[in-house]
Amino acid sequence: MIAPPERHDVLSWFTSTDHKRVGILYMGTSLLFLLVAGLLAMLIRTQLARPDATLLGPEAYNAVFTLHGTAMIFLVIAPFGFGLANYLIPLQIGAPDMAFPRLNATSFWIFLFGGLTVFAGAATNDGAAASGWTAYAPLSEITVSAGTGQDMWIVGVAMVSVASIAACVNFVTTAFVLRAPGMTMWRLPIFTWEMIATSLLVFMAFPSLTATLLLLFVDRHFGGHAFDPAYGGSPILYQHLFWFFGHPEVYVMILPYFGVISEVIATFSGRPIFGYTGMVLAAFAIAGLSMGVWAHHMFTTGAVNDPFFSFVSFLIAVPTGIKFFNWIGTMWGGSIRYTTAMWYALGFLMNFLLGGVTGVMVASPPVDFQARDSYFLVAHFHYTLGGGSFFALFAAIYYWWPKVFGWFLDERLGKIGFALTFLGFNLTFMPMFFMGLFGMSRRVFTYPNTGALPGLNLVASIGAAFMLAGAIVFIANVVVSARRKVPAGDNPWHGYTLEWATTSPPPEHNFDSLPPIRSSRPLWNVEHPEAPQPP
Amino acid sequence: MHGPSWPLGGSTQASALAQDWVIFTCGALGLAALVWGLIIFAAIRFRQTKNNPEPRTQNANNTALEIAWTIAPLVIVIGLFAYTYHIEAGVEALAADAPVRVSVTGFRWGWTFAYGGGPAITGNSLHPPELVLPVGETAAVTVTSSDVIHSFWIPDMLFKRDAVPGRTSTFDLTPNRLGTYIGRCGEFCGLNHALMTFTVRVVSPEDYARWRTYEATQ
Amino acid sequence: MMIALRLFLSSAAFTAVLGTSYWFVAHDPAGTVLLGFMTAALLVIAAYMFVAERNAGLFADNENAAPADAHGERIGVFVLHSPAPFWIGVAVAGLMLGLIVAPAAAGLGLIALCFLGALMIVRSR
Repeated sequence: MIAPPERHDVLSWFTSTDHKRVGILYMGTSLLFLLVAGLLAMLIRTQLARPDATLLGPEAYNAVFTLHGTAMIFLVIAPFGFGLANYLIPLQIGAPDMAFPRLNATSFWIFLFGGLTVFAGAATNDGAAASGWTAYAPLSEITVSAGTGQDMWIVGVAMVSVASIAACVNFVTTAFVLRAPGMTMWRLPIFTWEMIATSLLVFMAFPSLTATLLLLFVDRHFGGHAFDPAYGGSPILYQHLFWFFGHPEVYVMILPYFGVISEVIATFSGRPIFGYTGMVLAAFAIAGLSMGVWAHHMFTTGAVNDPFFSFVSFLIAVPTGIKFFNWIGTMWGGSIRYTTAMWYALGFLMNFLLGGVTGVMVASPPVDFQARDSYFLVAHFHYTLGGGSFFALFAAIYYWWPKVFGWFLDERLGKIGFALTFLGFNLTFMPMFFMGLFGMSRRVFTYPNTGALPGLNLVASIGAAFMLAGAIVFIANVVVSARRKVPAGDNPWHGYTLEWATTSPPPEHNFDSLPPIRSSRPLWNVEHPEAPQPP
Repeated sequence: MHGPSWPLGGSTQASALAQDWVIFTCGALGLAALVWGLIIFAAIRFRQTKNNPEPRTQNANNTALEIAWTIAPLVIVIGLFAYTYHIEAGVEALAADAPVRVSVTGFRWGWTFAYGGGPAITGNSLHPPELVLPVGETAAVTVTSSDVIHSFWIPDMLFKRDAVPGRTSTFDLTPNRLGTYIGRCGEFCGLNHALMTFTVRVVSPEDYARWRTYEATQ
Repeated sequence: MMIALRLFLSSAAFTAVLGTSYWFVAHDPAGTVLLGFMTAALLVIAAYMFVAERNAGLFADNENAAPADAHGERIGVFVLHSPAPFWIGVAVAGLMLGLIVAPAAAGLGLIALCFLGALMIVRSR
């Protein structure tokens, strides 16, 4: 069969169902949302640099942090992971496309319109939603937050929720059904395995989000009282329903990036990922356990069984630790090449470790009684999602960019950007552990000019300026590299998984020919026919 | 009243909470230092150089090691859980007959402190209310809200409890140190969440009794 | 495919244990129901996999398969371009925004959605 020639016109991007195009659309869109959410963060840090600042009043500030959190969680970190999965899964398993290409593209457009809807709330009379990304009832009920912005938030997030479920249906089906001959499940690259685990989480958790949003909408507009105590409803119920989604969501936001780190460290160490089986089992252990910890976000309510959730939360540290030891084991005995991607992976390891151990801390209710809803918690989740996922996101960009576009991002600019980002990130978020311990609530538009808070906040805001500089360097890198277009070739990093066995960028059907697949590193077997399996 | 800084403690519950903080912080930082050390060692020792141009080995399995680093953390977290459970049980224990009873109601944007058989003190962000408590005596504090969720937080005493509309939640507070402590709202509640402060003034039992008598005449 | 089946069955077993122990420890109906639904959902998927895929015999699962073994196998229709996804996205957006702004818009969106869905199904025959 002769395929029609590949189209490159602008209109083709609106009709394309090619998983690579959909992946690029997802990743590009999430990076644009990252720019907006990052600028919102700069607004926050500028306001909080000095006590009693007047850049943002409480109304504006509350909308700013709501949009910042909503965007980072729903429109940046998770969708970039979906986009990466879209691009990579068929390539890594040796398939020509996703199992359901049109559903795939549809999920992108629904995600895009959902994200735009959330932000469109800012154009309404009462402004965007301002009840936090968690939108607790009764704060988000119609009696308290009467503006349309809250409704746009509900509807927009619901659309993103549906889109995410649709995307993950594709990932799981494709990984199960469209693997190339010889690509058994136990030969899948770690990234693909992590996406299978992520997809299971999405299936189990996102329906709860959609249901919660529906209930909230009915409460607001159709006379519902699910969360209204005056009619027998319960704000605690909202929290159960929300966090049953909300906690798995944070693992949806980290598992794909665990996969990225595994791929990057393995390639640049020149070794297979250490403890492959343990890595896969740990991914599913994390996913499964994460469904049972949700009320550790509710320790301070006094309304839940703290020991149950504390115990399961502690347990999650074990498979996470296994992954860490496996990553170190991959580096051990290797010959590590420090490309920009590897630097970001190293930054991930250093940052996420702190995020992880402080997570074990707040899993202890006595610690949580102080830390909950304080800047200590803000520091913890930024170290995991920012220092973790965000750094891995950039590792992924620097690692797979040559494959996607066929030319390199400049390595020197990349390393400068990394240094600025790593320094800025730690300057910004390390002081926050202390701010929280000292009594600074989160979601506050200002703080008093006493004690240690003014100094700590100033340091944090200076750190944010460094991160901004890192972002500017990245954008400059893209512009400069796009002009030079240094060709990358099929396998610029000497990787061993299947995506490196085709051209950069791959043809529309992905592979002109496939090598025989005899292990989780098919290209190693091609290179070393004398060693039939890696030890 | 000292500005936000290292928590002072100030209650018997806070002493237990502080101990938990210390144990977990030392454990967390100790573990982090160990793993950071391993990462930095590996990152430097195994970087590509003239002396290390190729990986030494493609061996990527060591079952004994993998079992060890599964079992050891498991034992550690079970130990941490047992300790946490013990501390929390002590902190959340309710005395059978607390001499002081206060009902706290959070609202947008202030607090009402209603003493059992005593006065009701109300305040807001412009005139923050003051909770007066006698040192060495247990106060049974019950929190609720009249609108959205707030949280009654005394950072120095390392404790907060959410004030949820439609339900009450009780905890014991046994101050053991004279002084004035700042209190904040610990759950986002809208516009003036940042300004919803209160103070806790811990006085001698005699001063408390005098204050109660004075308030009764108001 | 047996691995996939085992994955869903073991996940269902895990959540069944989690949900049961949660009920006996916490007596919380909300969380127990959520975990129960999760177990049920996983069992449904596992049942489907067992019935539909147990005889799949994928070349992928053959450790020694060569790419040429699957030559000529029809694995499906891979459409490269379609206007439907974009317009379905528009219809969904119209439907959802219509819930807020105007029920008429929601109705239009719903009709557009059904039409586009039918179109997609018909054109994939």
